Amino acid sequence: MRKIPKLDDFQAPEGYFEQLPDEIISRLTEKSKPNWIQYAAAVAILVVGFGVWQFTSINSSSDQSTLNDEVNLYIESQYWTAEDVLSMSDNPEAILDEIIDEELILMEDSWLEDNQNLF
Amino acid sequence: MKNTSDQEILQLINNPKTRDVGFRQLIQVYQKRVYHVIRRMVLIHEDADDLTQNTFIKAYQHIGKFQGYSSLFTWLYRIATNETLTFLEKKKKRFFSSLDDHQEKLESYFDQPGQLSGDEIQILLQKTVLLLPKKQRLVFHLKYQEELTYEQIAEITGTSIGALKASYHHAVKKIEQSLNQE
Repeated sequence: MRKIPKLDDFQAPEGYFEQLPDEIISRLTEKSKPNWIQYAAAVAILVVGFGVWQFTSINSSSDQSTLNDEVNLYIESQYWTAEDVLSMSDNPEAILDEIIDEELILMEDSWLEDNQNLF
Repeated sequence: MKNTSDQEILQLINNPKTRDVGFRQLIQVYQKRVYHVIRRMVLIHEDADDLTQNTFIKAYQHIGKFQGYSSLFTWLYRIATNETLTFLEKKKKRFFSSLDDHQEKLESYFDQPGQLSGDEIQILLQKTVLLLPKKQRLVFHLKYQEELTYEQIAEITGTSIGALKASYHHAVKKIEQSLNQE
């Protein structure tokens, strides 16, 4: 072991540790405060969404099922790859995170992966 | 065994009136150690900053579940290492849809000016350690850099001491081989 020198620590930006407690505590305070703007926005979206849905649902149900069938056909025939479908999504990062989170629940604390299982 | 400081912090946190004061003390006492153990694994400051903040936020949310059987620092390290390994796993899985390889990005990090002292051995050592599987890398850092005991590492990782010894032995062997080749 004498052959291996200790690794140097990476330097944090100057003043980082003086500010960190405040940053963490302000994040905690933000989380615990009720955000009325978000609630109001959510209610507004729901009201508008419900109105639009009422207006369009009469004619669109058959269109939607046709569209779903077409999408499934493209995926099943492998015309679209997983990357194509993700790239068409509004928020592919969120979908990826969701998939990864589901997989991670299964492997959490298992400590069984990596190239060599040496634990 | 908990030290006095841990006990004082826990007393403050357990009292609703002094909870925030106690939590601030917890951050002040452990922030550097938590940050550095994370930073050694993820290298990039911005990622280490996010993970350090998430670690303390999770600690705040779950402090009620802390039984006091271990020290606060092993409990915090457990949260920090879980956060870090989950982050690295996500980065690895993302690679299939991402344009850049996270591993390559990390390796090239050492070549940027100002990140390390410029000592060639240091850069070579950092690159060699980075090539280890991430859990071996974590054990190496905890044992060699942090000088924790196998008992403490077992508490942090929830792994048997025998498996940790094997993991550390393999890590050291690979690093020595790599350094000897240069």
